[in-house]
Amino acid sequence: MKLPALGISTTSRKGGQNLSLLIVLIVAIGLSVSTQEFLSGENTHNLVVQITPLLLVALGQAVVVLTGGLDVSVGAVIGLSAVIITLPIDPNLALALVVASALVIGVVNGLAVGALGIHPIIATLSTSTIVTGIALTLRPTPGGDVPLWLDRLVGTDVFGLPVELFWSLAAIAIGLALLQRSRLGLQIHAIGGSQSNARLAGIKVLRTQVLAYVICSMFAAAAGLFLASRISDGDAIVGLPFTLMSITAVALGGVQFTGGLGSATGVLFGCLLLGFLSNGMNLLNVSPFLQSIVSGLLLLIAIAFTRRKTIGI
Amino acid sequence: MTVTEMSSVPREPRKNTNTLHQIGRVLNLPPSVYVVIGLVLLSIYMVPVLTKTPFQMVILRQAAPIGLVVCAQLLVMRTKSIDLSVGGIFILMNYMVTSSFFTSLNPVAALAVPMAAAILIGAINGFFIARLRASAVVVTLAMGAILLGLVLFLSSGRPPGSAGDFVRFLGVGKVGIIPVAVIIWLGLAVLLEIFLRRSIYGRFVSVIGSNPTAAGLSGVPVEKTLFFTHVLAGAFAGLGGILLAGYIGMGSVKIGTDIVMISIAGVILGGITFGGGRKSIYGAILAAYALAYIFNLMTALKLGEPAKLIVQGVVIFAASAIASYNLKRN
Repeated sequence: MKLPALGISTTSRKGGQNLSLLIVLIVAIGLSVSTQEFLSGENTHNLVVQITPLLLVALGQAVVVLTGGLDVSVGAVIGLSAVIITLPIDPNLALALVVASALVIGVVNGLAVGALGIHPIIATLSTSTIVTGIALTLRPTPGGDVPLWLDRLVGTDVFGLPVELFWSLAAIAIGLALLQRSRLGLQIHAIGGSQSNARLAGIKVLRTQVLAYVICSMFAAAAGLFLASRISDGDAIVGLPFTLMSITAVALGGVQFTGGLGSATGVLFGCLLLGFLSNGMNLLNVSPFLQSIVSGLLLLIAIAFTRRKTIGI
Repeated sequence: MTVTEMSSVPREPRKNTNTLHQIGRVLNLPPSVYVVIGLVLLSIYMVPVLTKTPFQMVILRQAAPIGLVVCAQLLVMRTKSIDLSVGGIFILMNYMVTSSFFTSLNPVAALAVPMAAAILIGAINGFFIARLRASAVVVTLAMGAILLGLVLFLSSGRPPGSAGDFVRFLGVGKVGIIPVAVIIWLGLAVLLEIFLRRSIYGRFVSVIGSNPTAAGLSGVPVEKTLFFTHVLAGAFAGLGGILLAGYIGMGSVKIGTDIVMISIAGVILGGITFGGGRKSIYGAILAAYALAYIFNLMTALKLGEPAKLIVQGVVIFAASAIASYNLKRN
């Protein structure tokens, strides 16, 4: 569906981000009119804390979706890194293990999809199950302590602003630099557009795919660290809802699931939209169970508007 | 070595008979065949009681709901689509057959209303995927979330009640020594196989699986076929959910979380891949049996939930790696 009035053209590789921005603005204005608390300092602070982990996961997810893949193991990676960082071992070693495990999972996902030719959903679904199994073996019930350095990075104020804001700013800066300003970003868009054409243009498709999955796992691991610190616990299944939420945010942000079209700013708008909606429904006292129905419906509507040629998966 | 491998796969002889080819031909059987053989050998060695008839009946009965949801998943996967909402359908079926409103109905309605709901869900999936051409992953993932939210909302987070007598009979009843659920599962699987082989619809499914674009260009009604496939998948998943609810007997809101994973595992183990793979249903039947067997064996070996997850993941990964290797080789 073309919406030229909103500046959505089929030639831009940014996807449908302007439509998302419009909806975000409408929802924000609607909420600030209908509730008094929405614009209050406390609620804005809450919003930042709620949106930050989602933004981290969704930016990583977008990188994979742009290559034409999908990573449903992000939730498991979040859980594993939250578990590892709270293990009773040297904090530096724990951090190294978090990074190493995310690297391994990313490489396995990337190779499974790129080299073995397994469908992304099946490949990442199986790594997701394995990783969740490992995380649950390490910590069957939530517990453990977050290292001091990480504790300082969440829930405090820097220059009078919540420190979570800086996590978000850093994430979005990395996302923008990677997708819109780097050679790798261009290559990621290219293989999402057409793998065979990208290969003919001299892009190392396998290498790019593996890198995309590694970046996605790294973002998810960062979200795991953030969540572990926020709830002061290592919980193996803390990340599972984030799989669907990240996919929803990416879809709402106008990133095309066939790959090749989408932007980091679009993902930001998608995350803001999801965050505003769940925050707004909380303020309006909507049942949390209804909220999951609403976000599912939103995803259906968002996806129905992104029409494409291919049929099926 | 080569002689035994040849004899284990009776097929027409090929001209090229180097060892690699023959190994490849053995690998070409559905992975579930090897998993079942491995499981039987392992349990004879470690837990021999599992191979006795009563235990086999227990395993088969547990395999029935898995087998039905595998049928649902293989239908959509053969048309290059996927249904990640089967978990949500299982949860909804469980809620519907155990909530007091439905258990008070007569047996026919108690079965028909949930089945109608499952078919409706399949139709909505199909509408979005076939008519609007939305990504099947996203549509069915969203549908799963909506169904889970719906059940949690309706039940306010607590399990509703217990299943009615008729549903309970479907889940745990027996004819002789054979569980009713097993008869339903195998009967429907065979019917599905005949239907897919003999009907024009079955041909359409195969053709769309090989190449949807070419199928559309040659006049195959791609949209209608895909829509109907999702409706059929909804029905199979719904019946699977009802059998599982009847087997468990009580309401539960946690029931469907791993069903999606299990259904995809079953399809892969059955030797079916996106868009095709082997056509015959016996691979999928053995796969459901193998999965139920794995869970029982691991319970018998006192392995916990995390270990089950790891084994499940490894099995799917290995099976799909072999499947895509075969695809590339051919």
